[in-house]
Amino acid sequence: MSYNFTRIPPVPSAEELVNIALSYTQRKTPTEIHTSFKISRIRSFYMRKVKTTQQVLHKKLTEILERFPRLDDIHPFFADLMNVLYDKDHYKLALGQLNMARSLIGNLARDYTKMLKYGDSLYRCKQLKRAALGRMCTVIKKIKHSFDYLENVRQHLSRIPSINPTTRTLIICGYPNAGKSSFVNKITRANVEVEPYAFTTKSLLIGHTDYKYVPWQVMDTPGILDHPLEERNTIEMQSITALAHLSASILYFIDLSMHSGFTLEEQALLFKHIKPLFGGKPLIIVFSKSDICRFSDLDHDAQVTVSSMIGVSPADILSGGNRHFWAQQENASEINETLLWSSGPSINGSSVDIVELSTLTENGINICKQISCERLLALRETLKSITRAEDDLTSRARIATPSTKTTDRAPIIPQSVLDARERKASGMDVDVPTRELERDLALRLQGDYRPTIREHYIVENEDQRWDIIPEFLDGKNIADFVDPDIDAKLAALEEEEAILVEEENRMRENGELDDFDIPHDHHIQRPQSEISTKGERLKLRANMVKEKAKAREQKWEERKKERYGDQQEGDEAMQRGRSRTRDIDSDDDSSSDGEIRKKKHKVRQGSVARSFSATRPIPQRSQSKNRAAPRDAWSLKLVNDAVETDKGRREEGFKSSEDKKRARKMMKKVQKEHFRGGKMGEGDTHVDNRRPKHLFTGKMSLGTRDRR
Amino acid sequence: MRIETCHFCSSNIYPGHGIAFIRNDAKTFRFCRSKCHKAFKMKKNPKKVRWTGAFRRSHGKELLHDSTFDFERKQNRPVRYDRELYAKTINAMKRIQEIRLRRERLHYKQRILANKRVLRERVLAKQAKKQALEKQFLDEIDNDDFEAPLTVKDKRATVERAKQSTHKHKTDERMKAAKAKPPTTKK
Repeated sequence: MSYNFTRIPPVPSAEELVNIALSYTQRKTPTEIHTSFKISRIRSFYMRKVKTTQQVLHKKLTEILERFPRLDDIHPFFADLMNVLYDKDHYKLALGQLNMARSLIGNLARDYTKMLKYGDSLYRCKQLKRAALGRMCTVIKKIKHSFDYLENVRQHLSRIPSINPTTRTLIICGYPNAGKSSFVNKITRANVEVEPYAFTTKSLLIGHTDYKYVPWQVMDTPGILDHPLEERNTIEMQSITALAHLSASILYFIDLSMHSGFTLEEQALLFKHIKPLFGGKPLIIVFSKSDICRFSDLDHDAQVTVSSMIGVSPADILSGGNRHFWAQQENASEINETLLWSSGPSINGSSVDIVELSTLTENGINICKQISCERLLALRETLKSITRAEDDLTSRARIATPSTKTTDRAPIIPQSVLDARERKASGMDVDVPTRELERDLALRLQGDYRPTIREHYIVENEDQRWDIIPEFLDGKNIADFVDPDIDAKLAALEEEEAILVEEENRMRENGELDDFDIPHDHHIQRPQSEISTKGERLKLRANMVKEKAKAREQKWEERKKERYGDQQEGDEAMQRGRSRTRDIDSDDDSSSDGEIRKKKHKVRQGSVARSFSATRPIPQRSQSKNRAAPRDAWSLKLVNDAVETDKGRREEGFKSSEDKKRARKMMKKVQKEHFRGGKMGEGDTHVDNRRPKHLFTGKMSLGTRDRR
Repeated sequence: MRIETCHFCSSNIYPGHGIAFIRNDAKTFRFCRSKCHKAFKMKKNPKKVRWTGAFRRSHGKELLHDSTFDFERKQNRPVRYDRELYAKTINAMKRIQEIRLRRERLHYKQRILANKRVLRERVLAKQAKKQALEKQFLDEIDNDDFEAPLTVKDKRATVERAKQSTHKHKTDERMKAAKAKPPTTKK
């Protein structure tokens, strides 16, 4: 991952921040207030102001604190680099102060809002708010220098090149003026300043190049002088940091010509001091400016000095026997990868190669690049393989192989096919059908063809083939009863039946199956409801009393008849005739009240009609008319008229009572429909749909709309 | 060809009659006539409709469990035609039908008689109760001194008699005396 510190928002200076906060408060909160407002309203107004200021300051400070990188959370290379450039302590301190300011402002806001709750006038609330805001701003102003520092840091951070600490990198280091930047210029497209004076390059510079179709970072470092670590300045420390933290190919440039102004001894000494930093990283020692001076041009002592750096003799270097000394004449194309994998001298576990090059003549640059890239790739490969082994998918996945089959599965070929093959083999006609198909038969017989299902039935007995199989018997399906075990089942049933028949006979003998009649209760005047309630009892009592009264009356009538004769009877008969249509049970008060009283007295004296009971027949009118029939015509007519009243057409015209019954039934039948529908009578008809759609849609060229 | 049974009323459906309804879950419902079909569509429960076989069986009006029914269950395994087997089956069917009818008649008789017994008990109990009550009333009538309730005419007669009677009521006298007195003037 590549770090990009350009996205940090600009840090406002203290004054700016104060301005921002206050103007925000001014804009976002209501501004109108008056002493006449309710105190609660005044209080909330000012509380809001204080709160808003606190909130905006909080927000801004939080932004800064979050966006600045935390040195503990980033790559140690960057942490170290930032430490080198900006001083870790100072940086942390500045951020700490901002944090402190934030919490202080929060406390202030809390305290002042609490105080505002008890403000009793507009003036007091206003003063409190002024105090709160003032104190908050003071807090900010006091840490002015932190803001400035952080702004500087931010600006510098945004200017450093984006270095990816984990990707393939080549670090170019060495004494000042050794030809590092010119080499970088040659390899990459970076346009680094190249000047004759030392420390032209003052900071780490990144260029990019390609090798084997992947991008490579080339890091140009400022020149390192031979100081102890404590005395190194910022610029040198940057190179040291890079060397220390980045896993990269290190190209150590040595100026053999000493045109840089530094002796070989100095350069060798530096190398010795920096050696610890090279641990595990592929090292390439570059003899730059070879157009001026080459290794072979050096005198022996100088050669020894240089070669002792690595720990080899000059002769080894010159001979190039072990293929680690690449002379500038050699072509890049001649070097292939296999040669590079051979083991050679190593320092601290890192492989060493020596290259001679000249940036002026551009000799050996490609060789140098190739070698350095290859070495680093090899290192990265080994590292990856180590880490990969733990995390490898193949170590986690189980590859299952199917077990070998024991059964030998031959293809299934139907017999007919095999026969056909045989026939073919023996030269016979393959397509001969084994049987005559129904189709062929039908074609042959044409009109006389009948389906031949029965012919193909499987029957045990041939003479049964053409039987008509019965299906039904007495409303049952025979097929449901058909069962090969029917004999056994039937036998079991017969056994069971024998037992049951015996049981039935026994019951019959016992008389358990004899029928009997239920005594019917004829003489209940009322329906068969049980006499359980008091009301019912009272009603029954009243009935009985009525009967008694009637009995009394009857007796009186008889006595009257004896005393007064037939005349009254005639009148009474007439009266009775008229009242015949009335209910037969109603009280017939033909006799006057006084007479009833007399009757009662007489009755009470012991001659109670005991003969009445539920079974006693009610005295009918016909019985009371046991008198001599009238003889004169007028009386006859009266009597006859009285007896036979006019019942109307309904009762006339029937020959017999059966006829009458039938007629009545027919009447009822017709009436039933109308009554069921809640209708008045025959005429009350209802058509629910006067204009049915199917009759009234569409055109009619000819025809009626009563039906279609 | 098969004689089916109506899903609603359990009667026989002869070939060429009725309607079969096949639901989306592939269940088949056969109906002997539109009456049953409509009842089904109205979602009537045959067990609650009195005239159906289902009702009668579930309410014990007809035999429900009997060994003769085991013969009639529809087998789903086909049996190859054999004349002797079919002849045997037909004879067996006749015999089974006889036995079934006898059992059903017995069942009916037992049921009716049982109901009758229950009914008889009830009627006799009711009669006894009624007779007891009648006896009680009769005793009351004999022993108690009770009068028939007065009718309107009775009441009028009473008034008439009162007018005619010579028995002097205290109130009458007072009233007459009051009329005789000269009216006193108030001061």
